[in-house]
Amino acid sequence: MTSRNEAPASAAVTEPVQLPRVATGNPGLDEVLFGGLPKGRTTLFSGGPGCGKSILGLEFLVRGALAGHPGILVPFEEHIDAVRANALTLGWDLAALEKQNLIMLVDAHVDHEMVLSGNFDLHGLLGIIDGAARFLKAERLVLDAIDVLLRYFNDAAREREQFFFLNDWLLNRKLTTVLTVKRSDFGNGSGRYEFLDYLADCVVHLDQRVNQQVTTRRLRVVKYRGSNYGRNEYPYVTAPGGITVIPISGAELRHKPLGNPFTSGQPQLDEMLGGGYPQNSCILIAGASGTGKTTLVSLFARTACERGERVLFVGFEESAEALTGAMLSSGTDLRPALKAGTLRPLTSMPEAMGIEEHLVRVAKAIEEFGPHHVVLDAMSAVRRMGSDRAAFDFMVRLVGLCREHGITLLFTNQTKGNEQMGEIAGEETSSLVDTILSLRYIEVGSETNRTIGVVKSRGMSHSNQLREFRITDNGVELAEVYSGEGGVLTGAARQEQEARDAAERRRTTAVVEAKRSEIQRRKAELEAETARLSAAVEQAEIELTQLEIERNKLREDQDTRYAMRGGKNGDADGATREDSL
Amino acid sequence: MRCAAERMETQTERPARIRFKGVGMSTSNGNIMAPQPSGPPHRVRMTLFVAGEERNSQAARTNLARICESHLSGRADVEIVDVLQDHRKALEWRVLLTPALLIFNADRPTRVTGTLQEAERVLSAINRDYAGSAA
Repeated sequence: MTSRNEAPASAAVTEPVQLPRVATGNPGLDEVLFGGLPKGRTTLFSGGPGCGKSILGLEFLVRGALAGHPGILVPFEEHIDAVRANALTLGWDLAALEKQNLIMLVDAHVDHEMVLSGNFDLHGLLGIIDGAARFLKAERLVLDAIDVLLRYFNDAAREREQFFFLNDWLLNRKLTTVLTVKRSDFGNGSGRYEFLDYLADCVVHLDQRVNQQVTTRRLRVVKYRGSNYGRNEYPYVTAPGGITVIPISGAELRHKPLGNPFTSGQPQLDEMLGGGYPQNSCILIAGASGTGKTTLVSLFARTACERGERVLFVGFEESAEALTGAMLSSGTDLRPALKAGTLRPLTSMPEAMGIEEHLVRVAKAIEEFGPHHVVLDAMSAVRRMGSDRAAFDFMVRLVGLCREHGITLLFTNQTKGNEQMGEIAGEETSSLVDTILSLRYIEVGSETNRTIGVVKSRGMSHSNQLREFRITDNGVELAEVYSGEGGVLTGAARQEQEARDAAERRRTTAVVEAKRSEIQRRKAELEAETARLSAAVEQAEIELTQLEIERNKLREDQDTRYAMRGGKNGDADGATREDSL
Repeated sequence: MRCAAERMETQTERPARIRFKGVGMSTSNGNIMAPQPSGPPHRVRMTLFVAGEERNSQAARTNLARICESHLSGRADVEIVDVLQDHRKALEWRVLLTPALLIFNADRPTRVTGTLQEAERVLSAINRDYAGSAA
């Protein structure tokens, strides 16, 4: 910028400025909002009944108050005593915060019996907010169920005008405001309070839906003026302590790299895997019912616990008692680990709650227990939380959570039969996992045997060979499998096939020998013929030489006779004459 | 904060002779009987909440003065509160929408929100309030 004239053009483009934010104090929500709500501006939380928008608004105030930022709550629908009582169920003592002048509840439930006569406006509300904000030195404001108040204007144009007015006033007042509004018209854009979405600087939709009889909750940031934000739908739960939003996007950045392998508990399997299950990796064991998936993960859990490491066993299939009982029969005793507290079972029915509640449960257990490894049995049951999509959401977040904490995650998936690769993990899950073990049944003759194979193992030099997988009273054994021409064979059939194979090998050897001697014989014949033919050629050459000698002798005689007749020019003329003869 | 209220005594001049839709009584033959010329016989205590000199609030002041003058002939005690000055009073009475008139005769005050442009509605509310306190 040397010249004055150039300055305006180049000055018009500057480094992007981040608008200041106010952290809500809710870790998940702040992550989705890339830091918090727009400072000094208006944010809208909208959603149907019971979705938790009021709780989220209240949480913004409570967490702010606890951090020393006073706030005002104006609930237009609920009585303030009810608000206090509800807050207590979430573990928040509003009365205590009110005493410290950190929160003010404004009794604002509208008198439904009032008589309306002529025009009116929101100045009363503004006067109250202004006075309260001055008194508390408040920075945060929540207007809960603003639609209840606006409804009194009973006219779309007036509602809009009043909201404009309110919004302008709030902006001037520099209060970071949260408005909550009911919304039952999701998606069709024809709602009465749709215009709020356009006027607010930040809009968060909360959605409670029932999917295959399981209620799930999703939160989505619809807009955020002048800022980036997580654009997906995020599951959330309401529980004591407030709303827990489970973000997914940022998680990837904090993933730890794969570490050294841990033994699977079976030396031959370790060998197949190229050492074992790497620390911080995600391992899927897929197979049909009864192929030994639970046995394998239990074996790993027991071995890890024996080393003194903590294992969280997330079970959706059977109770902890049923599991330990079942595992005893295959020689894996989980009881000492349970007794020592190194193995913690976390069992539930998948249908009991939505995925977000399951996730929060697992996340809390991980936080409290601090496991080195998490075992989940089985992902196929996770589908019963609602849908395939729900199961995927659950797995993505669980995998993210484990990677973030440097936890090895082993999970099983029950396939319907001997399925193709894509069905082993579910199309989408396979990209999340580092290692896939496939267990299969093979029926040969009158036997059913199991095989095990490593389908994939990131960053490990693993075996591509199938092994026979036997579950005995003493544990798990692996054996080399026959992998010859008849396909993969196991058990007795394998032995028979091996015998047949040996005979076949012997037969083949004889045939080769025969061929070899035939070739030798043919070679000898060839040599004899060659000798005969070359002898004939030699004879012919000898005869040719003889004939030439005779002809030369004849020519010499001719020359002699010519000379005797008195010819002069010797050779040359002689040759000419010879030709003319 | 001291509440900025003013008292407003209405004058007793001439009794109003206006027909009020709201307080009319219909007879069996459908004729409308002449309504009572004014509000209840006793004194009426009211508070008008306004927002400074804001347009709707100004209109409410004017309308209320006119109603008191014509129908309540000296029997009205009106306190005026400016919510922009005295937010505590507004908070106490949950006055979110202004202007608002609170009529205090019954156990529970009756609220009329708006510019009070329809005198009959206001009088109806005052009478209902009276009926409430008499019962």
